[in-house]
Amino acid sequence: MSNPIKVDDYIIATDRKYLKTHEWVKEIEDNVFLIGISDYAQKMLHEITYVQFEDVGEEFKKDEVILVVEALKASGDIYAPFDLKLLEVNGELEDVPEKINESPYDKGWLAKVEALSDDRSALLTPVEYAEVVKKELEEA
Amino acid sequence: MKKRIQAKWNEPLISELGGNGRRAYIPEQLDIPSVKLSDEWLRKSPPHLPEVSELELVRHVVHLSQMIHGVDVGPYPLGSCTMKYNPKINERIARFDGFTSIHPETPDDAMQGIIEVYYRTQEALKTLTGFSAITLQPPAGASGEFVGTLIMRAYHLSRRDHKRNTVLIPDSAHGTNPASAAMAGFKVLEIPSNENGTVDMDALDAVLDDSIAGLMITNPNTLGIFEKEILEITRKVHEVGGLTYLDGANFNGIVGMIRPIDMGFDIMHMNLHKTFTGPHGGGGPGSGPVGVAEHLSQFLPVPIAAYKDGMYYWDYSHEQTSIGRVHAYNGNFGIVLRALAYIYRNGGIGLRKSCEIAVLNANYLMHKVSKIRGLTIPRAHGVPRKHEFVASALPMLKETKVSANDIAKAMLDYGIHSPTVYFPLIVKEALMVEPTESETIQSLNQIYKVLQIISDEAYANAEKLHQEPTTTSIGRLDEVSLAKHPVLSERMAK
Repeated sequence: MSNPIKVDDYIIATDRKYLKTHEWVKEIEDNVFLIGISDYAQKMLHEITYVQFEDVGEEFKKDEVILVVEALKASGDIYAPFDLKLLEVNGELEDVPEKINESPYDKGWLAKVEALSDDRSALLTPVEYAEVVKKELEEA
Repeated sequence: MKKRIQAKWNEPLISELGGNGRRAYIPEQLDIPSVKLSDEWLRKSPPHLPEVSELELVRHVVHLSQMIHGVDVGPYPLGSCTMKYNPKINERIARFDGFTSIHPETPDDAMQGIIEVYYRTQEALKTLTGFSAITLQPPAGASGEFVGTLIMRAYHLSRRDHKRNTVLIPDSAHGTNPASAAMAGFKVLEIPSNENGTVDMDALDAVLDDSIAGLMITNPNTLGIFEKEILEITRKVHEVGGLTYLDGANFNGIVGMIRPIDMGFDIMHMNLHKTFTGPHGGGGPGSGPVGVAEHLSQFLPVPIAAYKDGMYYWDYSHEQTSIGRVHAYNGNFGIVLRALAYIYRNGGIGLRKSCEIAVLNANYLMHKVSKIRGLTIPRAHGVPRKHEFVASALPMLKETKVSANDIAKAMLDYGIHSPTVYFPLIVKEALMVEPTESETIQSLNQIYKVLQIISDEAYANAEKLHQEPTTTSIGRLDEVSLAKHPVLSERMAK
């Protein structure tokens, strides 16, 4: 991960795209993406205790909830950044969901998906996402 | 300020106390003739019941009561729960023999007083809300929401309007709203709030069409902010044929000041255990009556308490169109009774005054808290709140690593119950504070001082705050393992 952006203590990896709802999306092969949550998101959720996955093979429309991350004080819906098919979920998280807290950009990935449309309009660059985080922090 | 030291007893379970044959109570001689049951109904060995003397029993429950916190012990500013004082006269009335000794299957003409209590409560709530009809059946707020959303469904179905599958809910809503709407079979669409913490009108406009079954909204909302554009919001939803639902969890912020029907609402639930002093906090029993405008009264659960020609009776006349019964014997009578006692003791003027003081208390405390280092009051700066406010501990977390959770835990050591934390979700590191009208200026100052002490400590010795509470009967629990590997037991955690 080269030269991540930092907003306060929150790290934003620059080798991937983001959603304004704090998911990251990284293309690993042609049309195949990994999805996870940002460092800011995991810190805001505090200790993550459970990940509720949908079935592998299922297809989702853009903005539909593909899985839910549960933490002590809240649960967060993870949205589909584009129309997609769920190829694989990070099974390790079933036993060790805290991996998301420890390694949000790497070992704590949530799902591997295949894009079913070309619409990438929801994706933000790391710089754009940094602005989203900044704005949220200012609101408090 | 000194910390409070909570009692800690090594209290056994009641089944481990006592001895054979000990009794706390000897029932009067039965005047009902005994009958011989056939063998299949007789148990073979006696039940394992605790056998304790009256003194053993009294000590046991006093010990348990000394190890918990309640509104009778100290301030309880748990936001949106309205943990106001439960007047003792309610309890006295609830213990009247005529109420406690009656069987629920008693014929109407032999339980006139009971039906009268239901009827009078319905009438009082009609006056306070402006609605045409009330059901007292739902036993909790979320149950009232479920009834409300079922009524939405029944209404659209009765008009053969089958395209309405979506309920709109602002992102500041209580989590039970989307759950209730989903339970009733609706799709939920979230409406974002603007920087003032109120409904984003453009976002609302963008989704309004004939797929909308209705809108569920809390006003004042969970930030304690009154939705000023409420008339515009309810008008717009009506314009596309939807119904409007008011979540009455925050009724204490407006009761006696404004009637929900005048804000354009069709359906509303109230929480008698919040606004109207039913005791709660141990998980119930609660009471979540639902009020509806005239055109929806035919869908209410049956029966409704009614009065005609000098007689109170149970009215089943709309049975054909009703969504059905939702609770046996018309809900939790004891809570309905306490609410009526409270309403009658205060009268309209008293209820209005309570609301004014609840709002004044919340704003006074918000003003004090806004001056504490590390805490902010996000959204709608300078706008007065109603009965509750939401502070954010995000600056403190960033500067000292002391979170809203740490603050909440530390408050317990000073004999103050924690505010609601991490809710509403639209505020980071949220502390949702609702002092209620019950608290005096001295106790509001006490809450403020404790928060000030915790802030000072956070900036001086943050590490200590991760260990608290230390003077309570049970210290800091490992919440992660509690969530992941809960051990359910009647025994106290060591």
